[in-house]
Amino acid sequence: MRLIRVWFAKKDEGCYISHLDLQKVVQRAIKKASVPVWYTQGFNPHLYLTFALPLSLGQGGLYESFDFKTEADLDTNQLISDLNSGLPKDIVVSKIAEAKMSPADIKYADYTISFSENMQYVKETLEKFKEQETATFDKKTKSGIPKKVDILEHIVKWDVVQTQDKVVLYVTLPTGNSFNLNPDVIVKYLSEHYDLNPFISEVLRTAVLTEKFEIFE
Amino acid sequence: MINSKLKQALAAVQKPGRYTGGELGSVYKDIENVDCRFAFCFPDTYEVGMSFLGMKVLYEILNKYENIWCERCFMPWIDMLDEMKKLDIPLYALESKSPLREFDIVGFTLQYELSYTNILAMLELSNIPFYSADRDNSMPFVIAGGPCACNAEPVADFFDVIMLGEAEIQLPIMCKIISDGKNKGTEKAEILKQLAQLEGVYVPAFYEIEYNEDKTIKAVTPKPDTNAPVTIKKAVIKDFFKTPLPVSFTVPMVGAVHDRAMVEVLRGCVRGCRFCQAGFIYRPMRERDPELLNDSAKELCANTGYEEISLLSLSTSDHSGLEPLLDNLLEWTEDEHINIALPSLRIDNFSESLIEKTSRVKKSGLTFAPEAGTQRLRDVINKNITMEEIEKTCNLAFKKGYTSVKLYFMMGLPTETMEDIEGIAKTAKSVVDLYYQNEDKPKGRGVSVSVSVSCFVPKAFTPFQFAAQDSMELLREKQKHLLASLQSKKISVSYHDAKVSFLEAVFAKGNRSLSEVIVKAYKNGCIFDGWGEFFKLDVWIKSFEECGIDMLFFANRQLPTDEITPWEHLDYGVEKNYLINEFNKATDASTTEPCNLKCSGCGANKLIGGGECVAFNQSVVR
Repeated sequence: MRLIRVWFAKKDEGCYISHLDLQKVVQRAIKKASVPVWYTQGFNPHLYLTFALPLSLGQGGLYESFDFKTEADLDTNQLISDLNSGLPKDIVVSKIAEAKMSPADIKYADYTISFSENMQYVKETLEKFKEQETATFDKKTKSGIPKKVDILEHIVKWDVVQTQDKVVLYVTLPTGNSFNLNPDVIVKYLSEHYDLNPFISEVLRTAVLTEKFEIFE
Repeated sequence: MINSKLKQALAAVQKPGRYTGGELGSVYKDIENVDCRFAFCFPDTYEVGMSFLGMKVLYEILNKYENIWCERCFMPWIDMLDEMKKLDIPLYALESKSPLREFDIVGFTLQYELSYTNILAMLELSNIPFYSADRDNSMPFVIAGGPCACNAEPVADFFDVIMLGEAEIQLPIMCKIISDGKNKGTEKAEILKQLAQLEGVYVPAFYEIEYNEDKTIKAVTPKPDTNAPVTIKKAVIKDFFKTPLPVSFTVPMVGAVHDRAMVEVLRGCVRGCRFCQAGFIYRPMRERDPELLNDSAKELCANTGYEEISLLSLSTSDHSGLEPLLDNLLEWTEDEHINIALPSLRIDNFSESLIEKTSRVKKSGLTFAPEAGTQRLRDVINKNITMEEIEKTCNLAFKKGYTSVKLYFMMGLPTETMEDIEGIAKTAKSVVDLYYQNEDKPKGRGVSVSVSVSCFVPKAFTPFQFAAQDSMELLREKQKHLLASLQSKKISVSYHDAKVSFLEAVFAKGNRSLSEVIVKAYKNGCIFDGWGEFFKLDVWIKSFEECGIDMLFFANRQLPTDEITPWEHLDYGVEKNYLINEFNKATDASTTEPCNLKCSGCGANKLIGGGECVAFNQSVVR
């Protein structure tokens, strides 16, 4: 039995497919591609499928993955095109390989947050935000009691680049099971404290990293 | 492209995936390369509309033409509707995100009367005027089709064109005429004149309607210089046996109500149940080739990844090749974990092998429709099934391990008495008793019989079009009586709200004067009338009063058989004399045989060139 990891991008309209719906969409695509997947051996067999790190609704990702189990040898190039022909147009599989790491190894992720309007104001706002001493928000917790968390304290890398048609914030944030900081909190903070229209921004996860900042494989 | 405004709206609503498109199977084209842009509008939510087979049929047919781009558009749910209004986002089609106003044709499907206010909401959200007369050449052609087109008079003034009958062949022709005309700058009235010459195309503006003093119709005549036909005959597919069916659906990502592969095995119905509009307006009955069905089902499953095939029609077990078709399907579906469902079965030809074939992969519940509680009333409505047949079928089902049965009934049928209502309770009780008497019943499990009772709505082009609907008070009384007549805890009852059925009846037999009321009710806040939580009968009553129109005149008045109906100028093949004859027979509780056993001369055979219209000796109808 091998654990196969499928890498895909989720972009544009695909960002609005919820995680639950995405599972169904992927299941159908696997079925349609006749992938020899391993079914659970219970009373009601279903195919084993896990997603490493679900995205929030509305966010895109270039380096998303899901895993399935199989006992068969796969023609990965053929499988990539078969899967893509069964997926919605904005979910695109790019790579299929045997899983090398465990999803528990995931500690950080790289994101870009792009702003395509009010660029001068956006740039100034981002600078001001970064110069603040603290930027706290109420983080939801499992216990139900919100916890005060300082965003700035958790930002690992921060870089702002202005191109001709947009301002792009490159940011690395902690993610995974132990501590997760959703890039949406930055957008929300800027909207609440600097009156920045949150809907001109586009959040894209560009890489998923381990504790040593290696690419998750 | 999702711009920042749309993004803002999507961030604020539930299930934004309903408004983004991009599903597997959706078609994208380059606007520069198409001559005709068609927006197929379903005036209800995405979940409902995406379950509708008709949209998939026409979507595939139109998009096969390189120069036509058919896109989808649904009624946004209340939260999205508010956001779109607030942010000034016009209603757009899912694929291109273009506003509806940029289309050549905006086509609505009229599936049920209570979706009419949603049509107005969708037009308003598109900045398209409601009335055909208020739309100039710069506007899209707003057209309609579907079952309610057979009496679309209440909404006729809103549409430039209404298509009667089957659109598979006519719609591409219409698209060509409209886009050619628009490209050449031809006047709208001129294009309409050309369209009116096509079979099945009804241009409401071309007809003059005169009324008598008592508000009944005096005459419907084509206006001079329009060259429009006196009666408009529905379009029909003559060679249905080999007519292809859709093999690649747009597969919804946000749960549709019916999310599965749908295969239409036959069209029309031989039974002639006197209340059933579909049974008359889709005549004559035509079967599809079982081989074509099997191949198409296979292709459809391969294209979509669906795990369930539903064999659709008005009465699937009437297909003469059903058993061989099931055998062929089972050859490949079992290995692929694909389940077969037969949603429209009849009690009287439900065989043991049929049960085995459909339940081999996964067991689902059984649903039957006796429709009426006593033999007398079943004879009146021409639902030709007997208590013995009901018992035999239920016995068979219980023996095969089924423990839940759903029974559909109607109340308010013509000539109905309280005895017939008690009959519903008795029928349900006898099914419960049968279960416990059955020695082969599943061990240690109880039975559940659910009875669903709807209120009878008289519909155009049925023998009961002449009948009056029971008053709401009487219907409620009958519902109470039914509850009082039930004795077993194994039986659960649900019934339709009489208020909803009443409004449905008003529109089902309504005339052109009602368009004004629909606009008024919409402006007074009526929307999503088909959704219980939004249905406001009081607002409707107020709107009718403001227009000075009597609702009872349409719903609760028996029509003299010689009265000119609002749909008199439409021809669905079945002749009025036949309907009158059937209505009279109903009053005597006299039945009519299914038309493949004995032709009763309804007239629909002329639609396909006369002669016999169903293969008599192939029939499985006993």
